[in-house]
Amino acid sequence: MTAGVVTDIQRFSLDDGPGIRTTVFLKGCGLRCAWCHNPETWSPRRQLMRGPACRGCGACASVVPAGDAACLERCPTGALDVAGAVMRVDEVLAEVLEDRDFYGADGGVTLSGGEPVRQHAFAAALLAACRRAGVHTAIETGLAYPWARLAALLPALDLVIFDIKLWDAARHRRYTGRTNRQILANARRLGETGIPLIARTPVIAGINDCPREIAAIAEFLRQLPNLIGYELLPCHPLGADKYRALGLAPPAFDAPPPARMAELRAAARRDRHDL
Amino acid sequence: MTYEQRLDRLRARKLAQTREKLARLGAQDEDDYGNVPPPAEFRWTPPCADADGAFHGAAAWGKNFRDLLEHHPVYLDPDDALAGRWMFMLSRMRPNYRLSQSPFPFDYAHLREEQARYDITSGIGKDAHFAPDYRIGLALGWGGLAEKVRRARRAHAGDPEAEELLDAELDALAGIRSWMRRTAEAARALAEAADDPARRRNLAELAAINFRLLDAPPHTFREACQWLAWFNMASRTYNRDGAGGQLDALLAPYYEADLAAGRLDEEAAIFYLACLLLNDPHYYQIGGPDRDGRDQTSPVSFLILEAAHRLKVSCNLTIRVFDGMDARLFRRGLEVLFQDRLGYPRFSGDRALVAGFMRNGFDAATARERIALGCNWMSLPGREYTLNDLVKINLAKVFEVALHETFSGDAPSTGAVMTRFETHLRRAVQCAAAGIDFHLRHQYRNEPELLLNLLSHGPIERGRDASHGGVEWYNLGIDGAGLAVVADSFAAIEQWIERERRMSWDALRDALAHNFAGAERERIRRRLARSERYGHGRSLGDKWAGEITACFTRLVKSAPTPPGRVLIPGWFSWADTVRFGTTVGATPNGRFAGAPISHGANPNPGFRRDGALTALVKAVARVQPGYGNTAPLQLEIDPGLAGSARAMEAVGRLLQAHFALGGTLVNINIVDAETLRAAHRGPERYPDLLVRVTGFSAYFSRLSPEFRQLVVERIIGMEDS
Repeated sequence: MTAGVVTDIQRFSLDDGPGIRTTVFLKGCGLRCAWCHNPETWSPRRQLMRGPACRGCGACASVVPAGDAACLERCPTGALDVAGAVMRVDEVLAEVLEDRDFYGADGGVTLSGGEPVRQHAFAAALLAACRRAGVHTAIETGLAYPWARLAALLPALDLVIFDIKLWDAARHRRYTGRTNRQILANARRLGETGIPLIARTPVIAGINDCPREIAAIAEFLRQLPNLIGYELLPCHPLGADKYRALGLAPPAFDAPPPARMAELRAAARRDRHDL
Repeated sequence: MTYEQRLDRLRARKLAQTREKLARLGAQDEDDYGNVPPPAEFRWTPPCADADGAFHGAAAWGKNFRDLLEHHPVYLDPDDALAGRWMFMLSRMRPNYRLSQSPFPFDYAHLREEQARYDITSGIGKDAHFAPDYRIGLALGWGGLAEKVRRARRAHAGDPEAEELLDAELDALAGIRSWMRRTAEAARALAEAADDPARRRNLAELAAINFRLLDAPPHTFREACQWLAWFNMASRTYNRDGAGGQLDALLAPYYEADLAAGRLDEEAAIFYLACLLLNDPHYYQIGGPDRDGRDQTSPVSFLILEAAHRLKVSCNLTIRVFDGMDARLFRRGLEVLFQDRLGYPRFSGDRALVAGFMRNGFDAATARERIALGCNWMSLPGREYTLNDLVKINLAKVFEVALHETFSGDAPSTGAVMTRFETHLRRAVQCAAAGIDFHLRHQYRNEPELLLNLLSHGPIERGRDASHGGVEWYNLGIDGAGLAVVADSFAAIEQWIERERRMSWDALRDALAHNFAGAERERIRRRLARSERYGHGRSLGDKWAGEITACFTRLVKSAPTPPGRVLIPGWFSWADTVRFGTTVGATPNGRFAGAPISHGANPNPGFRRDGALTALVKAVARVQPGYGNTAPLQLEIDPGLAGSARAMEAVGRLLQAHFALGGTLVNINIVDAETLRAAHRGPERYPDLLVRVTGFSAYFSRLSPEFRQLVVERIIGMEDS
């Protein structure tokens, strides 16, 4: 049975596609977005996290993240946690099916990340299993990988949610570590699949919160005939604790003010896309 | 002046009264009843009392109640469509009254040892907690009721029990009519003195309505509301009774007649209803099927919701969700819940309630008439005596007894604990049943139900108190408390000692005995707390919660009771989680000694990292005892969720799924976490903040600090997870 590294499974998720959903977060991501609030999803491996209760006593020096969960008890303040658990497809499926009574016609499962396509074999097996069980399937992806990896998942997907974070290629590279050339190319190809698409832009103050940027992305999205929505997500500076727990410095940025969000939505709407 | 302006002023006065009650009486972990503080100089002592001030028996209650009402200060608000407010609870004016234990002049020493051993709340000497059938009073009026009692008095001449009871009923009626008459006279006098023409007119109307209602049954919609308010106020004053009725069906005939006669419009009806809801937060059901299964939803159902929506103070409305319901009422209920964020309405699940109650031997028509009229409970209006929400067994305590016995025995195992748990739970249930029998034998000579008798089928006719053979059925509730603590404790033992073998029985015993003191025992505690919890889904805790529910249900249903009495199990801890916790030492789920026990049927806070509401909804649906009493689901909706556009749809689906899976009653709290934190720091600055505590809405500021802390932790804990 195929296994993957899962950061978390969030039941009763309302922000990852239509209806009531179970979101399965897969570990590992190739992008390094400057505003990311899930740094524990970057590495594909399990990682030790030291919470705010850590006193730096060193009792955990010999704890191996991949080891037994019981070794976390060595921490006298209970500050230790491990990001990521190895789970088999049937284990994840069982958790997904727990909420079957709530999905109705529109809800279901969403694979998210990290970048779920990085674990493409696991993702394909899990999506196929969900599809067999009659559960609506969706994925949230950054599209920064060769097309073939996503293409293999498409037969088992009812909805693709993807990010276009920045329009300018150089700035995209500066803020995420990669240009957006491959992302835009993959998005165009998604426009030929007939699968319903939702595009999203995380809005970060001072980085992409200008109407010109959003209008350019919206203009690009017009060419995708199967696009059913474009969502602007105001990015809040969350996740600082998680950066510190991983020994990293949290990024500094502000949430865009509500008035700016309204302005950006208006800019996108000029290009006919409902938000 | 518009209705809106009048409501604003009424609401402002209500908030001022809440502040004054807080200043005068301090915190209380109960409903915000509709009472107003009496004038500071008011003094009254019961004229019929023993040397120690206690009183019991129908004659004494009747005379004291009459005298209290004959002296009750008159309250009139010129903005209000209804006259009167209540100020006292006679039942609490007895010496030695405590909320946790009523005075009872009959000795039950033979039960006390086991009651203490298993921390049983016996219900002995407790009152009300069954429901009136308002239709009786609305049809007869006070004059008709008095005539009915006099007729029965003649029919039962020579039967001392009936004579004493019925004479007391006449005293009660005389007291009520005195209070009403003085109020009507005051309204007339105030009307004559009023400068403002609108207020003068309103006061004159109040005088006319209340003079008429002294004898005649209500004729108009407003009169019907005023009549209900008088019964409610009188019944509160007698013994705190707060059970309402199927309000939409009760008022629909008056609404339709007034509308047809051109006497009433929608806006006026909403205002009268708002005044009724403001007068007292009785528990009312709206919607749901009638006895033949037809939807009872009417325009009045929507007007009641609208009245609550405009009023925005503590209300206890329940919408009964059933397959044939008007979907618009469900939707409007959700809208009001989400917009007002004041904890109303609640929702009950018809399917499981009807199927469950029928398992006690009742037909479907009767089961449909058993409606939501109390904190956690259902009742057949005027036809059954229930002791609902009064008899409780602290299962965490029973578990503790079983565990300690296992520690000192041979070959400990979860199986051995469970065997002993069942043995002790059987004794606890038998002790609770014996307490109910004792109560039913003596209560009529302690505190008869003079008010609820009037609106019941049987007590007046038979000359017997509702607690003593007056009504048709005796369906007595026994609630279990602490389910999650027990389930998680079993799960922790099974997981760490038996399955993974990472802990010994001795280590567990030592850690519990020392309340997890010291680094090593704290490590053990954290391990125990990490076990597979009830509510997670497919966990050991879920398995044990199912087994414990089955065991509790089986024992309650097989407990010996005199013929004709039925015991019905439920899960509910009311506001007693804190007190129940004080009697229980450290438990194997990692809970410290004295910490509160879990809430009703709900899992322990933190049962899942994501706190998923779907998991909660499923968990509670799976532990329903299934005999028509409830195991309520307490949903705390965090502010972020409540603000989301799709949240209402999602919560609607949660409710539908919960009821489809067997759920019985759902209370939903939508609170702003920041407001809650601030209110916890300075409650006096937030007199209007409402939270739904267990089954009831209460003003947060009037809860004790300990209880506020618990509400804050539960809500903020869920938001942060």
